[in-house]
Amino acid sequence: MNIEPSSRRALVTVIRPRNASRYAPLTSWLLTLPLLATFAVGFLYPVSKLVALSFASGSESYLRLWGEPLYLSVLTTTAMTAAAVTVFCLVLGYPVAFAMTRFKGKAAIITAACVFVPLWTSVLIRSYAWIVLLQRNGIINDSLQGAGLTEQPLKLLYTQGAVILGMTHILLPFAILPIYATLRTLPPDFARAAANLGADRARTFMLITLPLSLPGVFAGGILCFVLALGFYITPALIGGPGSMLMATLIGQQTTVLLDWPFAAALSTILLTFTLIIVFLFRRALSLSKGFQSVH
Amino acid sequence: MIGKRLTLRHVQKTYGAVWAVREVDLEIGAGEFVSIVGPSGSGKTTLLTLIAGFETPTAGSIIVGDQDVTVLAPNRRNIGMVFQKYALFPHMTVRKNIEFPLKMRGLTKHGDTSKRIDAMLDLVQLGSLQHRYPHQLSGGQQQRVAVARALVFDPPVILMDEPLGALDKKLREAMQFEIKRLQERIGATVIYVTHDQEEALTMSDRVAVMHKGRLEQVGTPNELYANPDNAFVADFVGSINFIPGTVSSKDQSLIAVKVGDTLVKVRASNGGSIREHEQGSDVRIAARPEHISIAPHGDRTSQSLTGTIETVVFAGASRTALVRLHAPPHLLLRADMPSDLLSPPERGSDVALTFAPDALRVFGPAERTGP
Amino acid sequence: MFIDRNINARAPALVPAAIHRSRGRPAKQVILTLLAGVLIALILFFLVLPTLIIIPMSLSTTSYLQFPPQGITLKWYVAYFVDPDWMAATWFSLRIAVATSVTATVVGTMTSLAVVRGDMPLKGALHALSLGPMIVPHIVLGVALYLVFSPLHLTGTFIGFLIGHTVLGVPFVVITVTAALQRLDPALELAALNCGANRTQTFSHVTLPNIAPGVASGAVFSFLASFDEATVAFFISDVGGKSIGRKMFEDIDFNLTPVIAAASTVIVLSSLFLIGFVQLLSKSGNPKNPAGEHL
Repeated sequence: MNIEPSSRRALVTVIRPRNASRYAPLTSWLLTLPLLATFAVGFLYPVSKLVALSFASGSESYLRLWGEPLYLSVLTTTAMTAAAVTVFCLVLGYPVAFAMTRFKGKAAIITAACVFVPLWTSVLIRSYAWIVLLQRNGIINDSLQGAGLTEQPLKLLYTQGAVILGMTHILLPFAILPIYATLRTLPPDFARAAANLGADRARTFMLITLPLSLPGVFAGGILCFVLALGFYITPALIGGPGSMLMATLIGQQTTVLLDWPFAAALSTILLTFTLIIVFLFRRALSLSKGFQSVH
Repeated sequence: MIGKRLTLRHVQKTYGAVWAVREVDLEIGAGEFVSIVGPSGSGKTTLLTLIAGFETPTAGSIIVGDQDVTVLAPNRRNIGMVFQKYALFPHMTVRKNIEFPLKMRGLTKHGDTSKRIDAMLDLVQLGSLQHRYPHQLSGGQQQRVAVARALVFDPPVILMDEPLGALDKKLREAMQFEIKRLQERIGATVIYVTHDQEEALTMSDRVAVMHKGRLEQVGTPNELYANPDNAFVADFVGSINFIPGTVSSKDQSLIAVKVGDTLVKVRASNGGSIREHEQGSDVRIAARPEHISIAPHGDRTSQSLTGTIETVVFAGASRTALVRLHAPPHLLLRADMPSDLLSPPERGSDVALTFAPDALRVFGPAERTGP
Repeated sequence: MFIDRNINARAPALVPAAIHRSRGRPAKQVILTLLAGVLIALILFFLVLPTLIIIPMSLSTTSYLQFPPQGITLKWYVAYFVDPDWMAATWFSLRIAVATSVTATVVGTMTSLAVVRGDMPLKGALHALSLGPMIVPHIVLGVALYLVFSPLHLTGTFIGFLIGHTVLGVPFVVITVTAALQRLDPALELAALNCGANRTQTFSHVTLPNIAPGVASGAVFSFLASFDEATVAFFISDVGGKSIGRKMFEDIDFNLTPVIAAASTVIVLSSLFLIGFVQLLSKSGNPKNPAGEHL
């Protein structure tokens, strides 16, 4: 047998790809260096330092959090708010995603624009717009009074409801796009076959389309929930003292009370909770499905 | 003649514990057109990949002319390749695509290559379309651009990986002729991979039949058709019937195989490996449809099998009958009948089938996991 | 369930067309179709309302936020363009965003090449890491970066922002470029090698031109991600260096003036223009490139 000298082959395996449609191991590692360097400085080291700070005085910060009902209620409020936002996003998002797969021509373009334009409007600007809409003499109160439905302007802004409304608005596209991506890949033959076998439209939807689109619903739901957990801008601007969330509590601790170790402990809890959810649902969560169709 | 000899010596490729190519030895002469055929997964495309240098063999060597290219980078091999789906660069015009290999060899900087490209465009009759982009061309035109790009740098060896697979039947036949014409004119060595045995038989000087990573047989189209080495080749090349039986007796000139109650005689020299088989061993008789003659049931002899005509299929110059044998029961045979037969047997009628001893072959029993 | 009926009747959001197409169907179905159309239209209106509302706001003559505006004026735009604070923040953010889109695009593209074409262990982990900043709550990252940057005097600096925003921008590039690479037929690169191109030539002549639309959209998205970013910017800004996100946050929080609406309108229109421009570019500039279709 005519085998190459083993040393030459060994060298070749590092600098030459095993398969020409792949890059060689050496090239592959070199390509990842910039990411590793940037993320080490701007992501991994700072986050580790934050986690370390939370343990700077042992578990004191965590014990304090555990002992104070107010902080515990912020934890549950955060989870409940994120859950409520997720449910609203899915309920409002599914019909739009469904419509996007069926609309043609102008209706399709208008729908797509309505989904994408807010996505690329800054969160700050949209939160600002909600302030304008919800304030005491804003459009919504004016219209309600104009229609004679209310006598006094209602307190809409700086409430828990305003926060849920604003966050639902901001996260809605993240629910629509994964559902749309899944629905779009369903062959119309399934629905046609079901209809052909005698199912009416309602049953075709309930028994065929909806179950097949569940992966998209799940992906969109997890994405919304995870993003909602860490939301800062919107609750900080349109939420009130009664609607404190983890992120706003962290913000308060750092900017007003300057209690960094406690803020670090809160951040660590928020981060851990987020990562656990991402890890548990890593198969369902498809970031690329959510963002890829963004463009 | 620009073609060079290509030698594959003990070439092997494994992926973990899976063998893709085992112990392939093949010598292809300069300017020869050799097809590699085989079912999908037989390792034929892997073999091509190894020759092109996209992967390195686990063992063995690949030699072009006098140069060992086994571990040479693909861009330094100077081997032309036509890809399965053409792999034309979508962002370049036809002309730029054809110019690309010349540009990469630095030829466009020193000296004028435009005449060479023009000549190549003429050769594949694409002069008028040279400023189009690939997506503006039909499948057949794209195919010709791919051929032109593979030929333009005068490679001594050209690889073609199912180049006509995406075309419809009419266009395929026209392009087979076209490729053959170009190859004969340029004199390059061509290795042509296809799963279509008919295409391979039509175009090639020699055909290599590949199965499960091995070369089963290499020979001229005629050799493969008339003298297949084993049942796989017999089955893969052309149409054939296998009839199971038992060796009843054999002498110097004839082997008698018992099929049901009938003794079918086969020329002993056509027995292949069966020569070692003893009396009583299980075998298969292989008979091509054109070597079976159909006679009315009443004309049967002690050496004919009987059966019932199930269907008659029109096939141009001849008609093919599907005959359900009486014994062994349920076996279906294909037998050709001349179209000009005065009273062709009807569907449902019983017939007698006879065989020419010289045209039959005998192989061992079917493997359980075999084809 | 009635949504499904609507869909099968192929009713666009435009109600009269829905009636027209449903002619001859039972009255119940027409009503359901209508309802579904109205529902979708309402959700779409909800999606775009906040973005649209800022335009009339920015043109209002009253300094107090009011709607509908009493008269039309451009004075808030003038105020925005002459205010040194707003201008300083805008230019600072523009410089950061341009630099971020360059670094994030380079780092993200190299990472995508390693993830899709590389031959190395832990590719899945590398991919997950590169998308991490999208999932980690921005408030956590903001606090963490502040902790590291503050002692190094990097807060409020160009380089500090560049590091933080590059980390945030990389996931957008990785998603778009990974998608473009996965769509690219590997046979094209093999064909280039076979034609005599070396690895570098193959990348510059074949790979890069074919993934260019993905790279370009990654660049635009990382630019916008930086320019629109407010949470991390909130923490790593200081008196000396303030991004437009931080400036806007402060103004919304402390003195709500229509200048914010004017600034927002300028930002939203430029963002949409930028996205539209890139889409046009990748569609018309390279018509023969099927990879451009995804934009």
